Amino acid sequence: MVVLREGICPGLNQDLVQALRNVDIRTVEDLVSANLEELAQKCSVSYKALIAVRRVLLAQHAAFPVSCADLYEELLSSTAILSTGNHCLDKLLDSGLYTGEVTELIGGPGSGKTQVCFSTAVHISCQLKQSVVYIDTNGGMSANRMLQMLQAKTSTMEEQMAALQRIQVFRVFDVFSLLKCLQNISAGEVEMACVGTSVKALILDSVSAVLSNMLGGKQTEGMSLMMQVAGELKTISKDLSVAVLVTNHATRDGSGQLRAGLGQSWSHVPRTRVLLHRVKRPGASSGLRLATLTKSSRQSCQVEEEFDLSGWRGPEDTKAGYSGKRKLECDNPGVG
Amino acid sequence: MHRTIASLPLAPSVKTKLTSAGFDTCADLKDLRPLQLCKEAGISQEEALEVLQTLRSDEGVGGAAAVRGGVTALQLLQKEHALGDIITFCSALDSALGGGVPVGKTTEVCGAPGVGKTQLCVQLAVDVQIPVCLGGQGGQALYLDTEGSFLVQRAADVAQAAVEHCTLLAHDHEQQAALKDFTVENILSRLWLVRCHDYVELLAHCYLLPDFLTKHPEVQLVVIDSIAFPFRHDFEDFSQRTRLLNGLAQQLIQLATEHSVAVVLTNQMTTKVWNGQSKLVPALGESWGHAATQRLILHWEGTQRLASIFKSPSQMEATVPYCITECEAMSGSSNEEKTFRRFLELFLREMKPHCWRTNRLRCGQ
Amino acid sequence: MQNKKLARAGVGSHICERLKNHHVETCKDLLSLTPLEVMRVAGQSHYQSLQLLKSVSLACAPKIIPAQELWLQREDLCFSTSLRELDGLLQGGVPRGTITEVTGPSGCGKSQLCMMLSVLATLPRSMGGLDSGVIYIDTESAFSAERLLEIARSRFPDYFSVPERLLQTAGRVHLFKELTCQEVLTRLAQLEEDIISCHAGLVILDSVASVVRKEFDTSLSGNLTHRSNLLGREAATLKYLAQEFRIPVVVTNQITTHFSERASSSSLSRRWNVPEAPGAEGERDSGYVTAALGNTWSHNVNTRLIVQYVDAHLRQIVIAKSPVAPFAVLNYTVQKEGIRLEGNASKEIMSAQGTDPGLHPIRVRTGIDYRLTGAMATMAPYTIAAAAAAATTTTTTTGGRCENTDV
Repeated sequence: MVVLREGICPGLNQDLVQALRNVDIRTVEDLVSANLEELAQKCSVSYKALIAVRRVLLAQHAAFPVSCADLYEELLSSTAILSTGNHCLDKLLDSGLYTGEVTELIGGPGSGKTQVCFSTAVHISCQLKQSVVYIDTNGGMSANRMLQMLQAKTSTMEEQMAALQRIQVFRVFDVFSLLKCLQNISAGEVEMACVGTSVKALILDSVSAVLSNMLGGKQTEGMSLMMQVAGELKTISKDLSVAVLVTNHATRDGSGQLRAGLGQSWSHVPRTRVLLHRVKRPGASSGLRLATLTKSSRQSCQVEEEFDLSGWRGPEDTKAGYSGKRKLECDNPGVG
Repeated sequence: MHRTIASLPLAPSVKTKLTSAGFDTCADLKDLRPLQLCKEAGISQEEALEVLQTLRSDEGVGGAAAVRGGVTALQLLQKEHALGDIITFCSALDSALGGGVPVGKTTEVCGAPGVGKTQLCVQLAVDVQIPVCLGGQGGQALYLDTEGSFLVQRAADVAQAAVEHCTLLAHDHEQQAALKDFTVENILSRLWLVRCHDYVELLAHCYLLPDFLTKHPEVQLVVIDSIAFPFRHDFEDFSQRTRLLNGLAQQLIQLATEHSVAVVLTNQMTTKVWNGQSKLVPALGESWGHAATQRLILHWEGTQRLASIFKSPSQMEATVPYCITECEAMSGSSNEEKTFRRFLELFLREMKPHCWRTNRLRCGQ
Repeated sequence: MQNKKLARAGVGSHICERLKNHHVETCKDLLSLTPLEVMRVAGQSHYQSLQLLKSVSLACAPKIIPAQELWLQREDLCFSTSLRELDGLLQGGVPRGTITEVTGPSGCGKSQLCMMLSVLATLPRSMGGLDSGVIYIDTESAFSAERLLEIARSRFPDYFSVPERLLQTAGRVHLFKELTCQEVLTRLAQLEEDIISCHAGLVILDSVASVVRKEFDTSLSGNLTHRSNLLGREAATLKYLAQEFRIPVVVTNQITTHFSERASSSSLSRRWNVPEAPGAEGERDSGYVTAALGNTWSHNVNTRLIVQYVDAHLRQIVIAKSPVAPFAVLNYTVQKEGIRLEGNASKEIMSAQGTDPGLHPIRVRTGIDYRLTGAMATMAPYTIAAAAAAATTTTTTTGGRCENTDV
């Protein structure tokens, strides 16, 4: 839907634009799909001139066909798989986060989504020495916690600081700022200004925090903004070959089944989806989580892996003596 | 400049007109003059001006936001340490929370009736005012009371106890000088109070909070006690309630981040029947569980009160006992008439300065 | 203030017109929309919508005051119950501007307490009264004017020796008998006018539980939500009036049997430090009596006082939930002059640790006479087996309705 305007292609002058507009031809789409012979008669311009204009416009706006072999070649050269730093999650994700794809983590409150985001960011920045963009929309970002995780990985202060410097944090709280932020990133303005190396991963925690208050009710506007966000995320992942990790809420429906937030239309956006929940077992540590693969194009779904969040804790914290503390079950705070 | 019109913060009706006139991305609009746009898209002159201004300011603000919002984690770490925490005066709870209730984050306190949610809030509203040289924040507090449970007598008691406690801790000249200003009257005059009778008044205040906090930058704590009461009746449309609550949560998180205040919300508990068993769960539905950054659940186990950290980005899950004790426990036996005062374990034996506040003075014995 | 018209809140007439087309006319209507919805109905950009919301908020938000302002009026924050120990614990009496609930088994003295408070409120200020009218909403037909005057005469024999004063007191207590939920709601809706016309300084609702428990069968799940909604609305209205008129509101509540799981029943007996009765272990359905209307309602009251039986004569008043007072137990008897506190040595009445006010076990009168020996009588409640026995007998002897654990 590009508007016909003077100067967008040679031969399209003011008069021609005006003449076309008079017969309700406003966009490129209108022009290429119109019957040019009739059009030439109607606006009394030369058929040849119209053909020439159309040829240029088609060349300018048509998609370019690529062969699969080329695509595969490109894929091999540009795709990277970034390990999350967690052995079990890597197994579920077929060795890690793929660049050019959107991966989603879903889970209820306190299921460890943010912790996985932190550890992934820390791993990519510290072990893989790549830059990470971290967009925080729910206030969960804690640099202190990241430092704790880094301290478990490396003991030198310089490396910790350097790793933290490779993590670029944006804090946005409404959908319009989020869109703006994503557009800045895809326009390439961000990494140039601040980090130097190119961004390999984008983490968005959480996507539902900004979107869930716009959905429902008597409006379609929220839905359209949601699809804008989805589009931006896909553009960034593809064009900049960045691995995108987003988190989403999960709520229980009437039958007690966990369901991802944001509804059906969002569920098409991520390529891979992992559900996190707490393991409720007598004697299990409070950090134990079960990850289930619920959507994937590479592995069979419903594969499950268990991992322990507390394993990411720095050594000095395990010393601090949280052992013996009782775990609070999700839906049984033990009252009564 | 491939930004689409649909993603602009414009009125939906204007956007529809623009797209139907063939404008698709911001680039299409870029060189237009207001009158030209008004003719081409069939919108009013004011609307055309608004569109172009939004576009321009968006670019401007967009650039600014990239600089403002885009900080490295290292800068954020420094900021987090500078902000500090508000101590609860309950040492076990403080250490489980990593030093207290964090400034710049939202914390939700859920609990059964009478378990001490309001007590904790009042305590925090006083504690935030403890002078910096005594390891406090030296700030002010804003208390939005929706339940009518805030009683000024109680606040005065807690303030009195805090003053007495700090007097015991003050050793050097600077601390004593700071204490001259730390009186019950001053504490109460720095505790801003507002009573909201329904959810409309609460929402109205949330829209006005940014202005209030700009005008009173000393305020470092915003308490909403409770978020549940006004939202638990009066609603027929539950999806509307969910939308409003989600929006409110985002507003509060934004407030906490941009104005560097701690936001503390209290929530009630409700009974949920699950496979024939009834359990107490926090009210306002499950999606609200995502709203606050930290969630603390206060509950009873027999006569013991327990506080559990249920959700926190930076702290381990933990359950610690706490109690609401009497004033005399700390102020000595000289005040026999104060026998019946109680508050959150003000008897703090090992009040260690938080490790990042090494420049502040050690206040313990 | 939420019903303020938008035009009066400084919204331009052009936008007002637009909003009216979408049935958005008051501040409440507008603030119930999310900013995105406002963008649509007002046809404004995001920034303008936020400005609009802000200016409307400004028009209907209550004022922020420093707590110091309230502190300066502290002499006037409470309504004395004339019971010295209770006043001491509650830091002056029943707090104004909040809801105080009295709950307990029937016949234990809830209505007596309410009538006594009514008498007190009509007294001149010099005698610790409020020198004001009283609105007494009676849903159980428990109010007795004769008893009211008897309390007045016996409690203040000197003052009420003049018959005109007695008449004046009787004339100032305005009784409203409301026997259905709808009637109570209607009464509450126009209470604002009543308070002004009666110059009321005290509102009593005796009881909040009877009508709702009569009309809502809690075995149907939809009813439960409906009921807690209704109670929430009642509480919000009462709190609003209490706050705006700065008057105390006293409501009474009934009791219910709480069936607990085995685990919690054993922890209950641990709590009281009583050796577990051998029978308790095996009892599956052991329940105990606690305040009615469930957990949600417990959140709605600011102060909860529980009255309970000790033996045929002696009763106890328990401060189970209060923003100011600790958990405490006081002994009292019901006398001719109303409530009289008895035998409360200052040290014994208070125990530092309370328990969940929603689940606090309440002792009721039983068929058998419970002889509690000596020192045990003041403080230590009995074992769970006894509580269970008491619970089962109560439901029959007191005629109180029995209901399951509710929301």
